[in-house]
Amino acid sequence: MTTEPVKPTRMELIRKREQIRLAEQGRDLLREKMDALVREFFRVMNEVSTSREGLELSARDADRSLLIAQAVDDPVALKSASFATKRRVVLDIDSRSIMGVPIPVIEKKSLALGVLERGYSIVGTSGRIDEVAEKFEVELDLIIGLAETETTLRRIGHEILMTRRRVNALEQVMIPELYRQTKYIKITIEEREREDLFRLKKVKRMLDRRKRQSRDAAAVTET
Amino acid sequence: MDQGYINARVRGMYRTLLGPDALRNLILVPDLDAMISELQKTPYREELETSCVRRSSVVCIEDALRRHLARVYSKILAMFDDQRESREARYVRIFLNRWDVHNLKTILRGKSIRSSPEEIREALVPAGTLDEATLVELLKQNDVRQVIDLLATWNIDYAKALTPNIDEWSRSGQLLVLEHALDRYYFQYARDAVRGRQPEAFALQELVGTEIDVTNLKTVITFIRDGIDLEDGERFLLEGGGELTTEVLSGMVSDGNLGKAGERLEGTRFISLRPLLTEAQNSGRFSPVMKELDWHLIRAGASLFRRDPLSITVVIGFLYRFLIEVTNIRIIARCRDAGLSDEELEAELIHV
Amino acid sequence: MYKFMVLTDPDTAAGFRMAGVDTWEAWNIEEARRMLPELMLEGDAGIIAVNEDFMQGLDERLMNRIERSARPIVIPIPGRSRKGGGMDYIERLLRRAIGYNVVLRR
Repeated sequence: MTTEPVKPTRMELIRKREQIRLAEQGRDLLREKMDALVREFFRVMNEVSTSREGLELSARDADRSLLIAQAVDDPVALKSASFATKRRVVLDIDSRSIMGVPIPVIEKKSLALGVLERGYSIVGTSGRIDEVAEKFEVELDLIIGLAETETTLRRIGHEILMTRRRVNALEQVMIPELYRQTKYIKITIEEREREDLFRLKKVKRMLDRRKRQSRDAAAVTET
Repeated sequence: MDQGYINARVRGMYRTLLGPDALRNLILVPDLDAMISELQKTPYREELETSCVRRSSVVCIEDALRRHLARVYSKILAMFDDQRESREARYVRIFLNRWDVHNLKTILRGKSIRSSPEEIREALVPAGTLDEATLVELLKQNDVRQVIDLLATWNIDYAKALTPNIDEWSRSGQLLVLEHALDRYYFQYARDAVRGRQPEAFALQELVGTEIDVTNLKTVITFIRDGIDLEDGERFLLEGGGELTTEVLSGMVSDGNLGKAGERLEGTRFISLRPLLTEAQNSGRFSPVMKELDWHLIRAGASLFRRDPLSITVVIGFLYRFLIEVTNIRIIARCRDAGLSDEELEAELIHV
Repeated sequence: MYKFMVLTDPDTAAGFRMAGVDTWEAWNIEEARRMLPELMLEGDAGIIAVNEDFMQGLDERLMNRIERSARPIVIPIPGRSRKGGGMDYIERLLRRAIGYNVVLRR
């Protein structure tokens, strides 16, 4: 915070106190938000963890089918079939918001094809190759789900970081500075009041003396 | 053409196949580089030496296997050069045609999605009757139509299957139309080639019948799995099966349940599949029964090697046995590369 | 409508290609590192799924760019090596997301 010159006035003191109240209120709200974000973060983390485990199992299953098809049918048979496959996956990506954090919603628009429409002849293509296509399609679904949850986790994580930074700024910089300033104002005002009092007393003493002197002088002339 | 002389040469080639011990040795090697060294002591050496500039060991081995396969098959085909139209030569071509069909389908597929010739070429196996030079010329064509036109210009038989279907293909945009024409042509060629009353013709009729049965059963299983109606699927069933008539197969599709469909195999040699069909119905895992079907055909083909020492069946049996060897080596290489255990690997191997 | 893209090793690529997604092959980390920024620039890229083995070889600048990007969403997928899966994956994700090393009870 820049150290703007603080006017040590009573008005300013009232303003600073109001600022402190607002800053502390803001900090408490942010802390609450952060608690909620952290709770959500761990919930999503569990979801990511489960999805990822599912993906790993599915990937292993798909890779195994692929391996067997490559081993038995030769990779060229797969390559040839892949030229002909009519399967096409496209995505629809939208977004919604969790606690003000924008997160993606992904939908798969796929042409699920029966054997008669998949593009390559049913004769002469081993069932192993169809199995590869199906297993990898399952894997795709899981990847899409994980892309959603993983991005959500990352975004919430980012929001937690930002919120924590703001809480820290309030708590460690702004609020202490405001307290310092009010203290300064209070001290300055008190000091000034003390000085004023002292000066007043001094003036009074001076006036008293002057009054006394003129009274004495009057008495002398009368005698 | 002297069948006795040809059989002697083929038996000589058979002796260079890797026996069970050599195959076991390959399984036991610690890694793929050791496997390559081991294979360099075999007839695969020549292809391995020229393919090992590739990026990974497994790709290098597979490339060598395909080229070795092509070399051996063209050597066999060349034995019939002086008698191209003999029955025996036609029998051999039945077997080799499957690579033509693969290559032509691949070129048509690649051209229809505008893949580069280089990319399409990577998916070809020049082991059929169309040699590499022919395939390269086909690859140079711009589109599906030009490929078919060139086949017609060269008077290659496959054009007879494709040309009549060009209109339907261009109207519907469905490449499947052309693929099915090739499939039908392939099986029709096989059925025509094995007609006759000679003992070896009977043996080959049986083999072609088995291939059609196996292909139809795979189609039927796929239909039941995907819930396809008989009405939609019937045209994909091939005629000319050895044991399974179209009625039996249609009945299976109508059953809509693999366990129930399996009952219709009673009295055929495919009855042994019944437990696998029931298991597939219950578990949803179809690969074991599909694999068993593949093996059925391969075993039937390989058994011809020992049928009649004086007949062409020796050559046909060898073609199958050699294919089994190449497939087994590829299985070993792939499974080793992926780190499968010995037991898992052995479960995938094809045993005759 | 956005594209689903996969950047992975040539073997696994064959499988994804069968499932009908845009598939890109890289033989090694260096190649992947060169390809990924270009793929990210494609206007209609929705998700880019990247082989975990490649993802771990990316430099900090690219990782930051990936994490800041709203679209495409770049996400690691299990590689054949099976390294970096399970708890490792979650811990790495947490470290990058909130800047803390979180040790998870196994």
